[in-house]
Amino acid sequence: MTCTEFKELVAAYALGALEAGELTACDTHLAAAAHDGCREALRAAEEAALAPALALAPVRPGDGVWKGIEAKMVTNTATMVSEKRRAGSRPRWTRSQIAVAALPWLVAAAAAILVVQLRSTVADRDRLVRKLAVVPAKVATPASEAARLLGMPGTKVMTMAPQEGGVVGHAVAIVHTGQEMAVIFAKGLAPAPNKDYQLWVIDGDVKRPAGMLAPGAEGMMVMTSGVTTATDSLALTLEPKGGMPAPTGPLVMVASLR
Amino acid sequence: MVLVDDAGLVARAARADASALRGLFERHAGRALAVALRILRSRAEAEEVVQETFLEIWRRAREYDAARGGVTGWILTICRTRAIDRVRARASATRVAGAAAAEPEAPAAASPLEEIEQRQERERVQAALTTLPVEQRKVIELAYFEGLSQTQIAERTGDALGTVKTRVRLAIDKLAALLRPGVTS
Repeated sequence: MTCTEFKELVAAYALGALEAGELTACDTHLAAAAHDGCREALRAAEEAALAPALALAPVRPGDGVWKGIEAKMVTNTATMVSEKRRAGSRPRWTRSQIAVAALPWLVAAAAAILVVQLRSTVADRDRLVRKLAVVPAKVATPASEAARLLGMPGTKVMTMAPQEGGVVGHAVAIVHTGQEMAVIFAKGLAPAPNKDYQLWVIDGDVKRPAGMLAPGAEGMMVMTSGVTTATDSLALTLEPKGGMPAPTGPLVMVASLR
Repeated sequence: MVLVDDAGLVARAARADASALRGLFERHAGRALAVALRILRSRAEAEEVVQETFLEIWRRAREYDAARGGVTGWILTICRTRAIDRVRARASATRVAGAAAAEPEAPAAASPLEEIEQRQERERVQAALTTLPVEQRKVIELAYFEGLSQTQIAERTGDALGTVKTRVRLAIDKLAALLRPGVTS
């Protein structure tokens, strides 16, 4: 098979739609050392062939799916160690690695034991209740607020547009004017010495300070209230550390709500 | 804080880091389940396939080669292959019509930002697929979701084999052009 012939078949190859004979011929061809763009063509075709999958809306797995994986991970890991040892080779998995894999189960087991122990006496139960009473109510974070908004109808998700002469990076605004809330997530915003990114809620000529982007598990983020149907846009500027009452720098990213 | 990319999570999973597999699961299980459900039309079986998929990733993480493709493709390909194998293994397909359509859309990604990125990517891919003629889209879906060869597609649709081959090639070529990084649909 020539490279030209392979590239004629590469679409069906990527989709897994070739007959056995054609498939073998393609595999044999790919195993050859020299190619004229065959691997690049295959990579592009494989990415395109994923389109039917990537077009599907994700479906949340039931809680038991991950638990089942965890349970089998421990078994698998132990089995692999055992097989390696039987084969006389150096084990791939160390005891500490097995411990890491088994950790969720150990934690769960410990928690179960704790619950049983706490249930054992009324005094313990009362003590637990007292402890729970002083646990503060769950505080909304940008991540939890974003998750809440994304689950609500009417939430808009907008990519913030970099402004001319602005900064490199990617930011999205999650906005629900009915809830009067917005959450901004940003990635790849270049840090500037002694400066922070500040969010502004813009209603006409009024630019209201709406918080500083702070690093978090999701990248940089900030949430703000007071985003209503009267709000024209949300914007980011670079301001002296700690922020300013009014913008001193140009708008670097903007999400228009109009 | 910098998010760990998929390849980094696979590398950590290869070192038996269970939290890395959990990270991959949170990012990709929703898509994997959607694919398995579309193929199998059974929630219980689809969830079993997702479990098998992530256990296979756990076992084979060391074999992952970023030069051969992205992590999303790797995971979805494992999942799809396992789901299609199950369909083929069924002596008689007991499909529950409409099961997939009845599943609610649910965010399944690890973080809101990832969910947003997945949503934007999904909309981009959906837009690309809608540019295909119906016949081209159909052959792609028959191949992807039912695991049919071009010959089997021709038998199923009643079209000439040459026509099916042309449709497959044109569809993949067009999708590749539309989904190339940097191209806006």
